[in-house]
Amino acid sequence: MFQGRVWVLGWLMLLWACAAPSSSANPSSDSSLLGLLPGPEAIQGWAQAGSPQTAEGQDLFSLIDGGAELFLRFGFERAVAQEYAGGKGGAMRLEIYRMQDQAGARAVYAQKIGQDAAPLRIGVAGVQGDYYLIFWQDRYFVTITALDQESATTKALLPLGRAVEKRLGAPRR
Amino acid sequence: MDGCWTRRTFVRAAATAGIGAALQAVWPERIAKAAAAAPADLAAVTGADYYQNTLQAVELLGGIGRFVPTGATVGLLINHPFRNPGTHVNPEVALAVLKLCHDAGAKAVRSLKDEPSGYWQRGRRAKDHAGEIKALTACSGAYANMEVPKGRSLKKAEIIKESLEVDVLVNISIAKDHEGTRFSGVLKNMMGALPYSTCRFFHSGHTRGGWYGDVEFLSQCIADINTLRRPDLSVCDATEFVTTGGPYGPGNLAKPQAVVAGSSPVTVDAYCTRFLGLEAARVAMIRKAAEAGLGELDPGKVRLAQVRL
Repeated sequence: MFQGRVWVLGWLMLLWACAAPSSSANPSSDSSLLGLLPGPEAIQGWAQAGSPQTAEGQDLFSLIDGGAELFLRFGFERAVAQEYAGGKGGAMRLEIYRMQDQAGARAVYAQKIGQDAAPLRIGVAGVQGDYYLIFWQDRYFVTITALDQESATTKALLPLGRAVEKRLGAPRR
Repeated sequence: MDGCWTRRTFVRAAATAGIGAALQAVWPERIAKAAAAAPADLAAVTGADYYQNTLQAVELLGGIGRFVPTGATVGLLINHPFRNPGTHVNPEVALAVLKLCHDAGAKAVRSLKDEPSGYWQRGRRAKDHAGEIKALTACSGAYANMEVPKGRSLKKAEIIKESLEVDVLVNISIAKDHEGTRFSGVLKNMMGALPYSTCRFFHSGHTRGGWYGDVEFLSQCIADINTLRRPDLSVCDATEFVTTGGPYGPGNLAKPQAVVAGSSPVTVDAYCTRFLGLEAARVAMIRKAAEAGLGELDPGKVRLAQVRL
């Protein structure tokens, strides 16, 4: 009698697992964060510089100190940061934050956009400032920052953003 | 304002002192002469060369010798962990302070926090100061567990051991936006000398939930920790900084190109709030630090030197 109930319960759980929507219907957004980092083929003349930094949960404080609060408030899961070096000495920093859900990514984005930034068609929504580009897509919030004032670097922000957008897959609005 | 030096009042003072002929000379020479006559308590120097701004700001205070005696051990607490533009002290500002400490004959200059990789090399004059950079000594990484006798909210704290042992503490901060306290400068930078456990208490020791759940409590803790080890010299980089998205950025950038220095962390911060369109008295952290006796809240009440190079 008891064994029978266990079997029924087990089958019910299996059926529920199959029927329930995946936390992310987009296969590419299930990729590891490191897999979202564009390689040298993505932007001509630019390559990853140094090793990527990663953080999970509260460890985000060790990566961005007081800046972590905003992300943790809206359901932060993991982040990866990677610097890129250009052939002419330029440098950019890419940061990808994975939140628990789309609402978290959208909320962080809403807090981060500055009034001087211009809207940009990238991801679900994005803006570009004088030296940075931010957007959100699925449950990811992405920032790319020029670390110098060279025009070649600011011009490379968008191609790098597009490369990340492509790796995230089509936006789910 | 008696203590305020504008270009006009400076020229007037120079003429009175019989150095009118020096008007054709370069600004630094005039600054040195005037500063020797009447050192300022607070100096703000604006110009495109941030290294020179820093040198001249300290000169207006009476020179580095006022703060760093020969043979002293100096600790530098620099706000440099972030990489986004306008969120960390420009290396040119820190390099100028480093040079000054060596010029003063410091026995040793200690870096109270490890610099991010390549930090000094991002300064234009890094090669000129390779020797001073190489001579910087790192800290042990040990923290001292201290009572905070003057603390109102903070009674105990862990703090970098060497920050209490050095003869002279120089706090080199950046003025910028901050999501919680609205302003970050010298006083806030003292949190850089604390381990995460103590910082966490600042943010959540009030038990009201949330990292910025009680900004008054956080602000009081910041004031309290500054009573434990008040910086001897406070330098604030207000050259380029984020006015939104702080403390980490990215965000809108302002570029007033100013370096502000003074003997009081409160007065330096109070002066710098103008760059973010804030009133010092409305920034709880600064007001509470003034109440704790860490300096004058009104920069107009101290001897102020303002110069554009």
